Amino acid sequence: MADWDGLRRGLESSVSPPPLAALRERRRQRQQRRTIAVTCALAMVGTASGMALLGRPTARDGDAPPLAARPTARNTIVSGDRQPPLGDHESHVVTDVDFVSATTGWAIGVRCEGTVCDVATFRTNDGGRTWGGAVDLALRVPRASFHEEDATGGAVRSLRMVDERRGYAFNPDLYWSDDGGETWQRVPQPSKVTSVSVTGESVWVTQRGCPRDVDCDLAVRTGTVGGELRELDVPETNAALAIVRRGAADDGYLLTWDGPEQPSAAFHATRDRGTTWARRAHPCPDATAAALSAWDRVSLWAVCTTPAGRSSYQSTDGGATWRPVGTAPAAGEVTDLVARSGTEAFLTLQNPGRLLVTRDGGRTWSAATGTGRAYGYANLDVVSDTHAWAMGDEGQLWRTTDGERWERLALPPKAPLAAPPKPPAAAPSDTDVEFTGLHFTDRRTGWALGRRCVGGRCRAVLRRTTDGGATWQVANAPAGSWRADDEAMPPHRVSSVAFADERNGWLFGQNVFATHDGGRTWREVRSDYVYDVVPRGDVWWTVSYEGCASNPCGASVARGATGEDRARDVSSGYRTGHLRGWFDAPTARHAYFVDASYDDPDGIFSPVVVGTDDGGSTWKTHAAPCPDAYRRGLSSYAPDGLWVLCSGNTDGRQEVATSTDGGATWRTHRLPARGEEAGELRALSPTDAWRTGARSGLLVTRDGGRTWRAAPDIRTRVFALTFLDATHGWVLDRDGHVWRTTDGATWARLGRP
Amino acid sequence: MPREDGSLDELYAASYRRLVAQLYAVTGNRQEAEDVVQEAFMRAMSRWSDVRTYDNPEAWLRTVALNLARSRFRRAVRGVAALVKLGVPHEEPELSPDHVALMTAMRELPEAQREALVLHHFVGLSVDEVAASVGAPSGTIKARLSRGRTALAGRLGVEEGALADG
Repeated sequence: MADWDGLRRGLESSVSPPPLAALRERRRQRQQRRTIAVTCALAMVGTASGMALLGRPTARDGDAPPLAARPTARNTIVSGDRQPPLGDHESHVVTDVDFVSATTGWAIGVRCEGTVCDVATFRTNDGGRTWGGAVDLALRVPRASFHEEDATGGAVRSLRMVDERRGYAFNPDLYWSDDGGETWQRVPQPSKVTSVSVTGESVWVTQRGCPRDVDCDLAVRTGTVGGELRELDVPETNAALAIVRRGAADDGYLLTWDGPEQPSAAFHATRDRGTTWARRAHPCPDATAAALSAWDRVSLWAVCTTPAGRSSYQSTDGGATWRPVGTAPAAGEVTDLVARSGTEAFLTLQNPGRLLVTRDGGRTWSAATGTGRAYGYANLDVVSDTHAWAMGDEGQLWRTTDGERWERLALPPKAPLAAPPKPPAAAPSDTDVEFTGLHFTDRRTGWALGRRCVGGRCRAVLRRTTDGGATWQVANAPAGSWRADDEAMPPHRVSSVAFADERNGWLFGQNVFATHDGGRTWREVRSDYVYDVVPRGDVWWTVSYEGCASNPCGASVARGATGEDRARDVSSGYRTGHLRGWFDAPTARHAYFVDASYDDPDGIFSPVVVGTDDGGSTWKTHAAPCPDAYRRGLSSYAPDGLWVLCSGNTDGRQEVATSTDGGATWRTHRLPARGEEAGELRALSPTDAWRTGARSGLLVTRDGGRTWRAAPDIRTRVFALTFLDATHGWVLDRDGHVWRTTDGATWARLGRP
Repeated sequence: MPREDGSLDELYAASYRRLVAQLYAVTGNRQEAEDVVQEAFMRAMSRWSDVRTYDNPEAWLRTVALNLARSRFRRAVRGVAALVKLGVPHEEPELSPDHVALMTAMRELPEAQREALVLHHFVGLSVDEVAASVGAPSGTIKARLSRGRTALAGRLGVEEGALADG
C-alpha cells in the first residue's frame, strides 16, 4: 500500500519556513520597483470628476417607465440604487450614454425576454444625432443579475468611456474594451461595481465591499486604465450613502451621510491617490441628500438637501472650510451636480425632472433652455464649455452645443450610424502591436499575428497581406483578451499563426483557434497548450503540452483533416509519451519529433528521434544526434530529410546534424557560434538551411551545414522564419518589421504589418 | 480598512509546510516548490482583504502555486526562460526507501497524472474538488487517476489497488 500519509509527513518535516517578514520585505522591494515604473508611466492630468453612491433602494412607483436611465459613473447622484425597470422589449432599452468628444459617444442598452437579457452598445459619430447598430456586449445574462446583489452575473447598464478606444461598462458587473467598443472583455470583480471614475490614466472603481450583502462597506479599487485593480484603504464606512469625487489623479473626496434616519455624516479628502485620507469639515452634516462636484483640485461645490430646504456650498481649499453660496429649488430629488467653475454649474433633478443651471455662483438657478419634461434627468455628461448631454429618465437625450440652448436627440437604435468624421487609423501605424507570428501560404498571401497590450490587458491582432508583405490589412482575430502579467498562460493568449490555404488557418498558443472562412470567424478548437500547428496538404498536425514528467516535459501529437476542427491524438501509442516539443511534419503522412527517454535503467538521458511515415499509426525511433545536447531544434524538408540543431552541450558548443534516411544515420558539423542559444532552424534541402541566433542574426548554409554565412542585410535578431522554397522567405525582426527574400540571398526590410 | 496581517501569519504558520510538501510532490523539485509557494503567499499579501474572506484561503494558495508551477514548466519548455534543470534536485529531504521509490515513480508520470494523484491522495481532495482545482471535467480526472495509479503500480511493483488510499 502506498504510504501517502508517511510521505506527506516526511516531506513536511523537511520544510523550514522562512520568516514571513522576509517575504513581506521581498514584496515591499518588488512593489517599490513597480511603483517607480508605474509612476514614470502615468500621465496625471485633468480634473475629471467621478463619484459613487451606495445606499438603500429608494421606493418608486410600481408603474416604472419603459425606458430608464441609470446612474452614470461620473456625475449621477441618486438616493440609493434602484432596480432597473426592465420589462420585455423588442429593442434595446438605453440605460446610459457617455461621450468623449463633441461628436463621439456611446450608449448602452438592455433588451430582456423572460428571464434573460442581452446587453449591447451603440456608437455615435455625430454627437448623438445618429447611432450605429448594436454591438453585443453580453448575451443571455440572467435578468436577476441586474439586481444589485449579484455582481457576477454578467449584467451591466452603465458606461464610462475613457477615450475613443478605451472604456468600461459596469454596474453591477464590469467589462473592458480597448477597441472603441467593438468587443468587450469581462473583468471579474468581487463585488458590485457602482461607479467607474477615470482621471488621466488612473481609474477608481467603487464597489460594495462584499459580494452580496447590501449593507456593507464602500470599497474603492484603483489601478491604471485597463489594468489590474487593487483595493484602496478608504475610510471605513457603512453609511447609507456615499460619494467619491476626484479633483485630480492625486486628489479625491469621500462624502458620506446616512439619510434622514441617521443624520450622521463625514467628509474625507486624500492627496495621495487614496493612500491616506484626512477628515475634513462636512458641508452639511444634517443633510438628507447631498451632491458634490469638483471643478479643479481643491475647488468643490456641494448641494445639500436638508429638512429646511436645499442649499449650495463652495470650498476653495479642498474642503477644509465651506461657505454657503445660496439656495436651490427644493422640489424634486437631486440626481446630479456638475460644476464648471465657481460661477457656473448644472443641477439635475427627478420627480419632477428638471435640468437647472446657475451662472452666478449658485445664487439663482433656472431651467436650461430647451429642455423638456421628464420623470427625471440623469447622466449629465459635460465634455466642454459648449458641449454637454443629459439623459432623461424616460429615455430622452438632450444636447447642447453652445452651453446655452438644448435640443432633444434620438436614442439608438432608431437611426443608422453616421459616417465617422475621420477614417480610422491605418493598420501600419499600430506601433504598439508586438508581432510574434508570421506565416505565408504562397508568394503573395501571408498572415502576421501580434498582440496589443493596453492598460495591462492584451488582445490578439491579426494582419493579412496579399502582396507578399508590402502592405497589410487588418484581419479579424479572436475577441478574447488576457492579462499582460499573467504568467499562467491565460486563455486567448496566442502567439503563432499557420494557414493551410486561403480559407483554413489556425492561431495557437495557450489554445488553438481555427478559421475555415479565411479569418472572418474564429472558433476555439483546442484548449490545451500548443507548441506548433503544421498544415501539410489536406491534414494539420499539432503538438500539445502534455505535462512534465520529472523533466523533460512531454507533448502529444495529434492529426486532423484540414477544414475540420478535430484532431486525433496519434502519439498515444508511443511507448513513453514523454515527447519533446520540437516537431516537424514534411508531409501529411510523415512527422518527426525529438524525445527525451528515461527508459534507460540507469536513468541516463537518452534522446531519440521518433518518426512516422503512416500518419502516426506507427512510430519508429532512432538515436538522436549530439547526445549530450540539451536542446534540439528539428526541421524536416522531405519524407526522409531531417536537420537537427543541437545546443546546450556541456562545453557550450553547438552542432548541426543532417539525415537523409529518416534519422537512421546522421552527419554532424560543429557550428562556429559558442555559448549562444540556438534559435530556429528551417531546412529546405539536404544542403540548404537557414537558422537564427541571438547574436548572429540570420545565417544560411549551402553545404549541408559545414559552413554558414550571415545574411548581410539583417543585423538584428529575427524570428518566425517562414519559407516557401529555397528562394522565397520571410522573417520578423524585434521591431516588428517583416523582411523578405525573393532570391534566397538578399533580404529587404518591409513595413510593419 | 482594518488590516489583519495577524491572520496571514497564522495561515502562513499553518499552511506553508503543507503546501511546500504538496507542491514538491507535484513538481518533484523542492526548490521549485518553495519558490512557487512563497510567491503565492506574496500574492496573497497583495489581496489579503479578499483572500481572507475566502472559505479556504489555503486552497487558493495551492491553486496559485500550482498555476505558477505549470507556468514555469511551460516557459522552460518553450526555451524562452531558464532551461529546465536536469537531474535530481539538491537538498533532498531524508525519506525512507519506500518514500524515495514513490517520489521517483511519481516523477516519471506525466504532470497531469501526477497532479491529479497528489491532489487526490496526498492532499485529500475529492475527484470533483480536483476537477474544480485544475479546471478539468471529473471524468478526465478519474481517467488521469486511473492511468496514474496503473503507471505508478507498474513502477513500484505493487498491485494497483494498493495505491487507492493512503
